[in-house]
Amino acid sequence: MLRSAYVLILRLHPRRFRQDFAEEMLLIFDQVASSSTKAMLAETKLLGDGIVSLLRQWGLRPEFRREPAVAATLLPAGDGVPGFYTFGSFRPRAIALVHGSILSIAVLCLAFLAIRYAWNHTVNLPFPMVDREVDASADPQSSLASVGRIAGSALSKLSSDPRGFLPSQIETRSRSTAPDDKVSRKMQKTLDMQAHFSAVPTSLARPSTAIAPSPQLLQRYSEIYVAPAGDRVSRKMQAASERRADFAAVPSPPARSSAAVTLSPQLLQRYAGIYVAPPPVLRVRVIAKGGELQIEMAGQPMRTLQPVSETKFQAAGLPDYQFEFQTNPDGTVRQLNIDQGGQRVVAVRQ
Amino acid sequence: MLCPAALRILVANSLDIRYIGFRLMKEKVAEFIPLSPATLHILLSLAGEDRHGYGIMLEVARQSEGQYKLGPGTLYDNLQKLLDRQLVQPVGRRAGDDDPRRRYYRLSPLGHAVLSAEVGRLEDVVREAKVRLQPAKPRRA
Repeated sequence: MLRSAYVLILRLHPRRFRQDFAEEMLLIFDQVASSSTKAMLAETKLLGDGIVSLLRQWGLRPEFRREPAVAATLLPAGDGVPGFYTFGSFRPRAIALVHGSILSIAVLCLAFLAIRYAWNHTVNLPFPMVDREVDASADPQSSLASVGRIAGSALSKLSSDPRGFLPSQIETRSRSTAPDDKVSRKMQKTLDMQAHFSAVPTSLARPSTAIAPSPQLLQRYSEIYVAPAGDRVSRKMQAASERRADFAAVPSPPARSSAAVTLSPQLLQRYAGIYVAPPPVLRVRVIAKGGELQIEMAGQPMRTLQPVSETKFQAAGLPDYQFEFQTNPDGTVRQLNIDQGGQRVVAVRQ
Repeated sequence: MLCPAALRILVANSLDIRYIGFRLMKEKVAEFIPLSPATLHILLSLAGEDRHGYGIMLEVARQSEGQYKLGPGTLYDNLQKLLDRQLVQPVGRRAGDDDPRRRYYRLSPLGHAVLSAEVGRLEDVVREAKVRLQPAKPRRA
């Protein structure tokens, strides 16, 4: 047993050392074991010596680990074909092959995982800005098709699905049947798209139509999607629909409505004026017209400002922007703060 | 026949070459001094005759009267260095009754010079040590 361990230790030595001396070291081990009266003790000592040697060779003798340079040999030329210098004895080390294999398998697994879960990410499609002048009576499906090519193509694909899942059927049909992953994903995408676009024609009275879904739409989402246990896709859809159902139970925020906050024309007139932000120069013109404020930023059309509070406003068609007027103690307006996505631009009144 | 002038030049050149070789050898030898105990014992064991690894181990134990024992790992680690520095050269395998796995090693001329230089250095050390360790003679009053 000790001899086997000694052989193993010798095999673990660097290749060059092993080739030169391992045979002799094993021979010495055999001779010492056979000639010594206390063979067990002698073998144990030799085993310890082998371990020390192993550590010494790998830790302290890097200069002897390199293979001697192989002289390039010229292949014999035949029939006028030029010969090439080749390193005939070269071949990759075994450990390099093992490492390469492990690395390749890991990369392959990562690629498969990425493909498997790619659908789980939200697709940020470049939806064009929806104008409010869309006809309220327009068919959601036709408006969907007119707004974006991608949305239209997705919808047409879904409509032409051989299983016959038309969008209208999706809204009313019970999901208690065994769902298919592919169909479920299409349903999910279509419902998301409709959440974006169908809200446009039905919310003319409200600003920021894209982020305030209509009650009818929320009602559509408030269904429970039943799926067999273990279906991860269906579980996620169910959780999402439950969240939306909770959201639907919350009444629409009154702050967004123009009827909730009514400002006097005198106050609006105070806000009217020219505001200029520091470089890059942004010129903002605010006018009071017809009992409401209108804002015009450089290169943008005139938009109506809907009051959120006495000093805060929101522009129609710009849901991400918030405008706040700041006044001096004497009541004169000092500046206009434009907030968008966590960034603020301060425009000083001229 | 060479003329005396040519002969003189030839002898002078030969002496120069020998002198240069001697200088180079001396500089090279100085690189290895002092030797480690293991290296010294291995070179010393090979000074008399060619030996294989186990023979070197036994000879080292004999020379040191059992006080210094080399294990195979230490022996072949030092042999590897000595072969690399050309202080020792392999002789090959011997035919006959010997185990064919045995390889013999021989002291090279450079190894011999290094061993001689190291022994000379040790002699100086021993001489100096004897002088220092002598009991101090009492001074006359």
